[in-house]
Amino acid sequence: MNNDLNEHELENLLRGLAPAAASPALRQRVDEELKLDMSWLSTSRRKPQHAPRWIVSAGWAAMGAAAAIAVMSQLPQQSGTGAAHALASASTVLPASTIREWDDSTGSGIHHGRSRQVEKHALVISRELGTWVDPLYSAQTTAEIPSRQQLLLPVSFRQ
Amino acid sequence: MEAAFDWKRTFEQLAPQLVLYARQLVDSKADAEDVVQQAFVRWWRRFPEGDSSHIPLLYAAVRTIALDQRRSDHRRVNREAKSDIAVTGEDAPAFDPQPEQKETAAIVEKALQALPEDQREVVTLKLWGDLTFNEIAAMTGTSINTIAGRYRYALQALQKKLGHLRADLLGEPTSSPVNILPFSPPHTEALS
Repeated sequence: MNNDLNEHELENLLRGLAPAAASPALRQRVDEELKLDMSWLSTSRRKPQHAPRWIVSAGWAAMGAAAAIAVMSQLPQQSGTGAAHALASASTVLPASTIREWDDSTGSGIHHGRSRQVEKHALVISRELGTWVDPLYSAQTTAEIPSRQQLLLPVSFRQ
Repeated sequence: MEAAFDWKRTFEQLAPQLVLYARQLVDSKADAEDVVQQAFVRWWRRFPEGDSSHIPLLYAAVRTIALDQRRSDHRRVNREAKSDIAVTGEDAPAFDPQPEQKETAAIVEKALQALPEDQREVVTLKLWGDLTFNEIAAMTGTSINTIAGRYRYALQALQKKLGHLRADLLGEPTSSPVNILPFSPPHTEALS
């Protein structure tokens, strides 16, 4: 009979041996060293971002929009100080600014519409840049929302 | 302050394996613990979530620091002079065996020490560090085939040294089986 351990048995045998515990002094030294610089604590609340950037942007945009709706729905029912309180407690994400940039525009000339009015059709390609801030983490995000709009512009002439 | 406790849980889980690995690279347990301290603190400050996907980086940090420390052992002399961990001694056991494993642990430790360092390193990382060949290859800057080869050679060497333990460890019979029947089977010679 072959009494030698086969590879699998040997691996099991070795894995079955627990490495000796580290000394309590080591743990104490690590504790002291981590306490010396606690900056890692502030970063420990951040989760690693594995999602694509557009999902993060869309998420922030959605949170900003939800916060804005929540705040606006509170405003008519609250007094001045109550509204401020609602603003602070509704969400930590607040809308900071909205900028619309025109990228391109094309016009189709002046012509008469169905109501015999003179009008001009225009295609406007633009981007809306919304910025939201999270004061708790001093975080800021900007979402870029592209849009194409067909505009119908009334035209008037001097008599 | 929940995160402050997280490092302790992670440390408790990883420290024994890290010290065991560091001991393969430096001379003593005291040196190994010094290496693990530096590596763990550095790693935790970088990855305070304690994400398991970053554990290979922790082993890589242990390796880098251990190799650096080997080059400058004067730091060890200074530290041992002012620290109580020197009492753990150079020959502190690498394993914490169950009572029935004590003899085996001593033999395994001796057999491990007899391996070439590069083989010992791979075995330690694979079996106790739970790293894959791929991860070991990445952290040592060696090809995966070389790592797999070292592991195979190491296991073959250990098999030779530990093969005789099979019966003791696995309960396999080495002599003829004990007759559990209440009576002896009839002798064929008597019937003929």
